[in-house]
Amino acid sequence: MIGSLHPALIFVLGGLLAMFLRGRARSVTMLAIPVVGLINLLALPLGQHMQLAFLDQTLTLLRVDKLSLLFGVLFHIGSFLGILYALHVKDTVQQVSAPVYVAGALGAVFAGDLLTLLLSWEVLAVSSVFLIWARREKDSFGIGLRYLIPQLGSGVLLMVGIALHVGGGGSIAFDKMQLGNLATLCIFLGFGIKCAFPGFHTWLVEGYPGSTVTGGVFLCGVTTKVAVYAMARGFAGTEALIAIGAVMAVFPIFYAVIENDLRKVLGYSMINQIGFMMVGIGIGSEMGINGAVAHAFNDVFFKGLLFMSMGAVMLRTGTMNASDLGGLSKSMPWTAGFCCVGAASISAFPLFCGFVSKSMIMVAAADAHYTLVWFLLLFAAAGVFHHAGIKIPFFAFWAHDQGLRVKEAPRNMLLAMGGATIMCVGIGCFPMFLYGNLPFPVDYHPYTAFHIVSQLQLLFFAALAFTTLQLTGIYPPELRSINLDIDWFFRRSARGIAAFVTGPATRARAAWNARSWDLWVHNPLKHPSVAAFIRRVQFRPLETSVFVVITLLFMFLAFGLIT
Amino acid sequence: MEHHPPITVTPKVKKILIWFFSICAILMLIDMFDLIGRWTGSHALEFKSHRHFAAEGWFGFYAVYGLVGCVLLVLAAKVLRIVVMREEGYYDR
Repeated sequence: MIGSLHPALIFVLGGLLAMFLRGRARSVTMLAIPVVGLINLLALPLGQHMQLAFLDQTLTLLRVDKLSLLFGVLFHIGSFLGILYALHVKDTVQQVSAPVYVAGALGAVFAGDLLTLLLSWEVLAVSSVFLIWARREKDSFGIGLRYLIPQLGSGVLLMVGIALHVGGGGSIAFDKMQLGNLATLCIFLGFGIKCAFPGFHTWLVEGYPGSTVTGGVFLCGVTTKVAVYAMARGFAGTEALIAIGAVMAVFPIFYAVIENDLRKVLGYSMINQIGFMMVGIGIGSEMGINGAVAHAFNDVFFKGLLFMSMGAVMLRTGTMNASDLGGLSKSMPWTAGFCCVGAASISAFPLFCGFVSKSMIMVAAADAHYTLVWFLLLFAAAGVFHHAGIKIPFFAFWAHDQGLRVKEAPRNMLLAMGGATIMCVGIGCFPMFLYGNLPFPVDYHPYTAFHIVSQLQLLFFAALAFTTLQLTGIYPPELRSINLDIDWFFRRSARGIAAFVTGPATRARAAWNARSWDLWVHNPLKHPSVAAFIRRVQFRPLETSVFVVITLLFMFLAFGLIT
Repeated sequence: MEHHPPITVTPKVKKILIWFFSICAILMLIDMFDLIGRWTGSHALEFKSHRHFAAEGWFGFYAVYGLVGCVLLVLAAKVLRIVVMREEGYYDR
């Protein structure tokens, strides 16, 4: 039995079971899910399993190889830490959504065919939005919706792409695709939306900070990693990814400097890290893909750690605004320490996990002669230290002491953060354990004098920049504010479009409510709707005539189709 | 927008800063070993021998790149702020 179950099944069953349990029973069950899952996972044989025929195609529900196993293990360890972190949560919605969400991730990562991938993709979207809606604040519904729409849009693109691909004679097996036709473009963009491609990234930047204290930890570690996996599996070596990844690595760091909400800063930071992974995948060499996958693995732990520490701060202080925080190192020393570990890891400080993976991507870029990209990534690496390595811990725990005195984070959260710290430092000091499980053999030694010295130089002098700019007062102060991103276009215009679409309906309704039949009978021209139409013809003749022509055309067409 | 530094420079902070600047200076000077190694042909000292780009071999390249890069980053971010910053309730209007 153990060693033959689909990993996702254990999480789904566990989640359903958790729905009916309470208190200690629920906690124990939930913690057991990833443990049982991992035992089962490690006993799974390599190869393609659970194949079934569907409409003259063969679906493969369980495809086990080095790449999927690595991500599978990653999600098991990550979800254990997340569940431990959220152990105190009494909200059933969250406690069921989280395991189902991870189940979707496992389904996607072990999918051997595109249809199974698609189904898991949708499960990911639908289950995760509850972690945002569960926050139950007055703007949570909108935030969740603005998160959900791109996620479902990604699913639709995927569906269209798969239909075109298979319909055009392609195989339904989920393997490397060549980006060249509409089908693969749709699938590429479908993956890309979940990777937070530039222009399609606002769901992440708005959704993750809008999630619950504990939900954010799950969100940050799942969707984007599944998307990175999908890119690595389907589009390794696609040159476009290099440019896209470089843009993704650079633009968010500017926003991160001026952003006040610290979890939003983490959101922008996520895009930056995924950018590195995209570059690695785009290069397509063994070093590149190894680097990208290794970095995705490490990212779950250091990003998780950062989200966990910020979540603890949010839990205790009720705010995530850098402008309102500070001086918490006295009341939350452990959380502060763990946050610094996360910060050091994301900045690729020697002895922490980021150090052993980020540089692989840079070496891959240099080996493949992508000089500009290398220099951009180096700039991005310095920038990351600036906003994630320094800004987040500094403004949350030190900086201006506002007199906030709160309790330290609850014990389960501290334990979870401790676990993530062990992963960050363990992988950082003993990278061979990670390297041995990467898709390709690793011929890379991160701990050379050159790498250590150059990285320390880069980071310390980035810190010097921060210090000097702060002391001279040039550094932009943390202010209560928001910053407009590309979603401004459809958030502002949405109101205009909505008004245009519902306008006629609103006016018709008003006319109906007026219901002045007398006017119709005696003087139709005075009736509001008629008068409005006449005004419209007078002042906007072009628009009106276009409208009339199109309406007539449609009536003609309809008439033609019916007869 | 007031430009007051959020950290008040207490004696403790001053001590940390002195340590910090010292480490920065030492790190910068370590590059001397590489240069000496290149001049004398000593491979052990020349730790930058496996660099990918010639620029990496310049004295203090990574330090300067980190410093200048971050200063430019912050200045550019300030410009970005002028364009995109809005009050908190902007979308609720």
